[in-house]
Amino acid sequence: MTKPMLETKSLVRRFGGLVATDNLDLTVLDCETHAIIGPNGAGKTTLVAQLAGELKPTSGQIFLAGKQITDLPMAARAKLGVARSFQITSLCGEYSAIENVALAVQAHRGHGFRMWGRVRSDQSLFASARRYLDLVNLADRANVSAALLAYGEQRQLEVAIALACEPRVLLLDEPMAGMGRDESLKMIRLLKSLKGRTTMVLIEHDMDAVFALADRITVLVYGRSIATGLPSEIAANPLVRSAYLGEGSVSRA
Amino acid sequence: MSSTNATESNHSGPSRRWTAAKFALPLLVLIALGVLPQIASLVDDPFLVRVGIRIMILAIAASSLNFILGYGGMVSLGHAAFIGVAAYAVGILNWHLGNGEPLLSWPLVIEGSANIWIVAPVAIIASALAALIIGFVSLRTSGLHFIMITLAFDQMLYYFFVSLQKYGGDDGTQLIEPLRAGTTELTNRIFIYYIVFTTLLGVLFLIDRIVESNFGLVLQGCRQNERRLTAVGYRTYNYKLVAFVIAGSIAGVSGVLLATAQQFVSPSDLAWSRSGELVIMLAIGGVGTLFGPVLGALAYVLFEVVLESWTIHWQVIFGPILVLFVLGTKGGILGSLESFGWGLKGHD
Repeated sequence: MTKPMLETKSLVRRFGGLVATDNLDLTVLDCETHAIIGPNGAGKTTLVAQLAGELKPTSGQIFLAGKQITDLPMAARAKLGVARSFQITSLCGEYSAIENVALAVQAHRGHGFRMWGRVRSDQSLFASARRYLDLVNLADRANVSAALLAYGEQRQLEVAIALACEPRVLLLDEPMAGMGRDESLKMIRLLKSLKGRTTMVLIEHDMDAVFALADRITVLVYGRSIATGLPSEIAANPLVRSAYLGEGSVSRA
Repeated sequence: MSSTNATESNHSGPSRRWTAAKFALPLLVLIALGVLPQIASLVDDPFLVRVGIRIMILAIAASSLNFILGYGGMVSLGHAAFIGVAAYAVGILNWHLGNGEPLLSWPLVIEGSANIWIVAPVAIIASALAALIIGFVSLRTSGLHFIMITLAFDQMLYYFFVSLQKYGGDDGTQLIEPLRAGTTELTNRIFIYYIVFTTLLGVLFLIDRIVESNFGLVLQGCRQNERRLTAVGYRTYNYKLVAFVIAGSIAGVSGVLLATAQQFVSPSDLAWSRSGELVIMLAIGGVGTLFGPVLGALAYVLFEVVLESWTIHWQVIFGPILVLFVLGTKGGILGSLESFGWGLKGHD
């Protein structure tokens, strides 16, 4: 956990007069779980979109393991190992859970242009997809259409798809969004089991989840980083307290 | 769940079960098409053979459109362009042979030809090239913009061929020399019928294989959620362009058959209304199903033949029928059978 895996240098993104990302220097270390928190409108999703390559920064650079990826499009970054789960569930609804994962495995293997063999008889592809479903405890729902899965299961499937990309960095955009209490706890357990396997950037509103999972936390306010540190440091930081957490609400940390 | 063979082969759900019912209607139609010439000679009505050829050529064209529209989600309103380009390639080469004037005399001499082994590949490559160029530009857009830009390309090509006075302009051009396969002249209707029939079977087989392949998984994913595919690392534009060129080439095949069968090519072969008819066939037959386009072409031509015998303004009657049909069924003929529990849908 020493060398940086994902870095931004002086990252700026403007929407007209609004500065959604303001001169951000972020360092995410290899294999750490780095949470990014901040009030609504702090520019968290804008940041993820830039890290994933969906949105071009106005200026500044992004590095993956020391290599500049600022100008690479989303598909190219995915190939390099930047995987994301969407804040709003984004799946191929007609495909079964396992087919959704198989698509991701196939992308990673680069077999997408094979036109002859029957893909559904590709044992190795589907066996590998099943392993990722196993990881997120969805193996028994493998053959259910993604659109018919329960909401919490769809979120788990999102994580399985992201894992199937063999990510070096996993961008999790509010994986707990819209979940009930039980589903949230399940997701926290799942992410906890993945901790240390891969670098994770976690955007999350749920403070229980953040403090349960994060190795380090960065606090964004109006696109600017006001603090980065260990959970205990963040919880004790007076600046953070006044800006975001609210006085006296973080006794648990 | 353990990864036994039973679960592996079943992972896309019940619609992939090989039931007899799933193939009942398609098989019935194919058998009927297979013996139609015999029926025609029994009842002494050669017109039936002409109708059969028209149905199958349109079925090939509609299948190629279905490949990008039904499976890939690319709603093109310019698909007739690729039929027309191939048909004109056949027609133009024929004209030059018939008039003894080389197509090109500098820098190298290219003579006209009526040999199907030369003409067909040239025509299909021409369609593929047209699809590559049109797709290269159009696929940068999506949705309504894609519909309009493919329509615009179709219109451009339409007026291009209208402007070729040498080849008949508005009126088109007759194929003066009969097409040949080696030394055999392709003039026998029954023979042409079975060439078209075999080609249709081949095209359906080809499309089924591609749709069920690794590529097909990506293509159908593009229709469902393109952003998701990009996020896992697919450059979806490349996949869509390849699919577009495949569809254009298959449409080119139907264009060659069309020129061969009607011995005549004209700008109306690539009019945008023809593109619209293909979309209508998909709507009738069942979009995104392997056999839907065949049923759609069949229904469309039968409507045309029957209604035309009542009035030349047959579309006045056809329009309302189409509206009621689309409102009344979900997913065309195949889709409505599916909802009656026939389980006829070919693909997810």
